[in-house]
Amino acid sequence: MPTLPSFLSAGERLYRNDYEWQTQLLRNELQALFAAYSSDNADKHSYSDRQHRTLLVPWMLPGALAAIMWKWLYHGSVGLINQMLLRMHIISAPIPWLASTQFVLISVVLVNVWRGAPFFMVMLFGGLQTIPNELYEAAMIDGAGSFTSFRNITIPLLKPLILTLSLYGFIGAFNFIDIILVLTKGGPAHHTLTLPLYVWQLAFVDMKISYATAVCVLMCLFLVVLLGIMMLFLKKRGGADE
Amino acid sequence: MSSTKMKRFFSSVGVNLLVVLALLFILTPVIWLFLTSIKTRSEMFQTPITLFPKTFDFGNYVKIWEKIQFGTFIKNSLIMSLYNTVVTLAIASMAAYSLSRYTFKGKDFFLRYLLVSQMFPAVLVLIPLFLMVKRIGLLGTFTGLEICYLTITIPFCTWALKNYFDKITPTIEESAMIDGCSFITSYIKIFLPVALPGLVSVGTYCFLSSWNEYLFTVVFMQTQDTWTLPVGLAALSGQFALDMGLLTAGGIISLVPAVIIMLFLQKYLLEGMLAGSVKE
Repeated sequence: MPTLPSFLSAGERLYRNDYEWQTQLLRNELQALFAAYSSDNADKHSYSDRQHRTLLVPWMLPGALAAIMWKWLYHGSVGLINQMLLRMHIISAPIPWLASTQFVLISVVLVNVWRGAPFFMVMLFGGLQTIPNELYEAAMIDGAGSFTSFRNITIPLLKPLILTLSLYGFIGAFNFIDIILVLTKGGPAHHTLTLPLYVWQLAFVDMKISYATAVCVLMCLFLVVLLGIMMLFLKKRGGADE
Repeated sequence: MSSTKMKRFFSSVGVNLLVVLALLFILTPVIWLFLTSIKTRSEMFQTPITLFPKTFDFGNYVKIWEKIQFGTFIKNSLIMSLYNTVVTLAIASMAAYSLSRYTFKGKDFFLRYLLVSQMFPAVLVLIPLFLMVKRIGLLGTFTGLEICYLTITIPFCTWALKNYFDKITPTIEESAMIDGCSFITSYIKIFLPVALPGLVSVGTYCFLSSWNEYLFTVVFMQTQDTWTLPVGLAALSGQFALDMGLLTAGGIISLVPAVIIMLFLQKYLLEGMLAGSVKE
């Protein structure tokens, strides 16, 4: 039986998790931007089919495997990232990426960006093909450089798609769990404990099923309100078409 | 004149640099995984690290079948993926057909519900499903797990197939029925072959998503001989005496379906994904 105190303390927990939601937002922006840039480049530079295929690899492999892969890259002493940074003299001592409270969140976000970016790229790539080439030609004749035409043609025309994808990515990031579960299990010291992971732990580690469902209901309400606000915002901008 | 040429040259270098950076970011982890899997155990943990292995040692790819139940994991993964693909396609294609061809009360609500149900976290359905599956005694069986997979794949697949079916004109089945075909025959013999590309693309999606599924399997399958590949690998990575060689070799092997799909079926996959998403 979910009691009122359980709801309340779950609410408090939710409130304390605001850092989580900030990073989700950050991840989202990064991902959308990154994908927009690369697919734009791809389109203009006779991007071959083979490249296109390779780019999709991270999206098609198991999330658990992505976590394992990155765990090995983040390895404290023999991980590729630390070794590269050491060799380039950017850092003087290896950073324990997944064990330090300072870096763990950004490390986990990076893995999720890595896994999610291809999907965004493909979507934006599809969107790019609907932009008529004449626009770019006209801009070029008027003396616009490639950055100017990216900024003034590509971005405005893709805006609806970018906004919809942002919403999609936000939801995906809010709900994602398998990578964190394998990578850090919420640690160190709860620094990567997102809401879904918290629910999972409550239900299947602590076996407090009713408490977990209470948190779930709250999370749902939170998500619905958040989505409602975002939808309204997008509609006002004349953006979302779905 | 020359300054604009210079400018164009630099901008194209910049753009290509971005592409190379993106490729590096995306491919490095996979390449590193492969390079690690063919190193010897001592080389793996020596500092400074070597980028390319000094000796190519494919021993890990042999050892993995003996040391852990790798064959069982692969078998389970294949069973679940095929099971899921077949059941999802059977249900979703019929649902999508009726959504695409008929109008009925509550159709709009149903369509919207299919989309909205995608937005809620998997943990949300996990707990009630766990309780239900446990109550009916299917916990730890493939069928129990399959029922749970369906809650994820069916909404998306129905939605995608409905969009695909909308593009096929109904005149084909209509003329078949005028020529004396029964409804079922016209659906199976006339309509489904026409819709095959859509079915392949959605089927590929189903196969991949259940091949990659981790969360449901780790909760529902409690004994080791029912684990799928991702769960088996993740369990291996959590062990105290971590054997990185086995883990990386297993990781590379679990990439095989993705690579096959990339080489042969990707055209369909993208078609299906783009069908409902980009409006022209």
